[in-house]
Amino acid sequence: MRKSGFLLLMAAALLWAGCRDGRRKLVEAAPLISTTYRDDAGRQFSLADPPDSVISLAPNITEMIFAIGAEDRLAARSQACDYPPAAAMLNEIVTYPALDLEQIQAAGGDLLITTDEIFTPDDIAQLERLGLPIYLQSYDSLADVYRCIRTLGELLDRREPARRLADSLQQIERAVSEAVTAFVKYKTVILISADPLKVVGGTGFLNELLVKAGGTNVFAGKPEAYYSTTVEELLQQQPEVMILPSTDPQVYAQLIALYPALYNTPAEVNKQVHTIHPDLLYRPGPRMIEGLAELAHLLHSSVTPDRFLPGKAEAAE
Amino acid sequence: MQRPPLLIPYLILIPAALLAAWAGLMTGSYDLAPGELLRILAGGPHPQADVVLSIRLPRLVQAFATGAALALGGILMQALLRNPLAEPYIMGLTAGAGLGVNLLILGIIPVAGYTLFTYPLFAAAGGALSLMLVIGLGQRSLHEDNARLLIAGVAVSAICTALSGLLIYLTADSDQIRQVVFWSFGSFGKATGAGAWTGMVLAALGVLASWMLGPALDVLALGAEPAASLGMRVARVRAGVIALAALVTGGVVAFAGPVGFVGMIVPHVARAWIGGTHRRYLAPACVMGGTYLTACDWLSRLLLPPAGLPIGIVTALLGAPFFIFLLFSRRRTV
Repeated sequence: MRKSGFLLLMAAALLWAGCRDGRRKLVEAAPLISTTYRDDAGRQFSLADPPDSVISLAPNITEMIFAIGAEDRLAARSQACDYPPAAAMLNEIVTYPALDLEQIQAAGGDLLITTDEIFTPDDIAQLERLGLPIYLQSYDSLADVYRCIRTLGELLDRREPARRLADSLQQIERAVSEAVTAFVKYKTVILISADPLKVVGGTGFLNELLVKAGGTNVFAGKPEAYYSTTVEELLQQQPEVMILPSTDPQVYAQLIALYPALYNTPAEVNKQVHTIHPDLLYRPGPRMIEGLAELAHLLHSSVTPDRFLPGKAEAAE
Repeated sequence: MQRPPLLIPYLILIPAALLAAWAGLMTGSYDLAPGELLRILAGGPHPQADVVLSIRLPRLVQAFATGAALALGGILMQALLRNPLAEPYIMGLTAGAGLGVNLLILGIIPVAGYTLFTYPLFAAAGGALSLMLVIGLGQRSLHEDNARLLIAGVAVSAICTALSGLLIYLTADSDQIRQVVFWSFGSFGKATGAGAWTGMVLAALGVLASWMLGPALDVLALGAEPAASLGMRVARVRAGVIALAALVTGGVVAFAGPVGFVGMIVPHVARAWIGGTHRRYLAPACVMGGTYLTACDWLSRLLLPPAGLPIGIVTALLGAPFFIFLLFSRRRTV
């Protein structure tokens, strides 16, 4: 009897401790005043204060955070985040081949930021189960990129630097567009992938970059952002300029080895096949404008990037 | 059952092949009138002559050669294993070729300069090595029953598939994954003149060699023991049949990717329709395989122009219901 009374007492004590602990957690989890945000995927998340530590799982978002001077709030970044070089000092989260949820948990962030292009809905559902607020960005145009930079500024308490950055990127974009207005709009193709053959279609920010850089996208009529094509269709379009986003110096040789018929394009005949660093085009962030200036230069050699990016030219010197 | 004279299948198959070829040559981004196509094929000058002769024709030839070679591979494997459901895939050839291509795509074996034959060489080497392993493991069954050989084929196929998966998991970036996945779907989009005609020569040589082996295949199809009692050197013939099937199917799979079900469906239909000895139905079956794949390629481009659906998906969509039908009809006859 005495033993069962003791057990009962212990159980009651444990229950009380558990309830108290649970109540404490509940109070901590529910902020008194919180702001609710809606991300680009239509999901809602709430934040009481600007988060002290955020986790970025997309390289372009890490670049945005550094560019608005909020890197002190970065708790961790994905393994693909390799720019700026200072990002290497941050904790790394493995996202490929499989998302390491334990690393995310251990990083202890207040907010997780990524894009809707990198992870599957299953991955997002897994991330949601961690209980972290998640902010998903999505970009269909350059305007979306500027908007996302400004939103990041609001979230991370860097409203003014973010606004200035977005405004200056927009100004450079306008300056590049104006500089190429008078030039011939060459028929251009941006080749996304050789095998399978994929090119930039008529929608999305890559098409917009090409148009603003003073080119005519030969696949502008296609409704997809990334369009699967054939050698025959590519030949039919007769591109005068071919842009290959790659760091591999052999990329064009490999393309011709796969599709010898492409040796007859006007771009090849006029020696207008160019490579460009893929990160300058594929990462919708601050460096995308560097990509725009570089594209404008490839299409119109007299339009030099340092005209628009003086800081870049000084850094190079 | 009275077998039809061999002329009748040819009277049906040759026009069907020409029709499929015509449809394939007419389909593309440039619109051509039938007269224009005929003029180009006759060697006349035309602005799109290069497109027809260097893009559409190689694609057509490669599709036909691949279909013919896969049908031949199926016939050889079915005679060897005495199982109408067998095809080169079962013997680990496709998985071995896939592993070879993955080693190349993933950069595990670095290659200084790509040529037209880089992919096929790696695929053929992968297929040949996996085949040697299958023969090594199933050596005893070259003399006896085929169960051990079949199990060895399935095991080697599983090992190659697992190794490919492991390499992709550990080393691939998104571009490489796209390449690996796309190759595994099968496609004629990269067909070039040299590659296509190489496939055609391989298929033709394969048909010739198989025709010469015809009587041996008939005896082999009776089983190892009866064949041995009839004086056949079973192990030697079996090894020769496997090597021939590997060479022919490995060569075309390397260019087009693994295209499934052709090697299973076509020999079955040819046997049911034409029947008789291997020599009788071998060549019509290869024409049938070539026509079938040419038509599938045309259909794929019709369904999703201009790039087309991956050919492996089309053949699987058409072949899988036939496979199920075959399974059920076999169950009823048991």
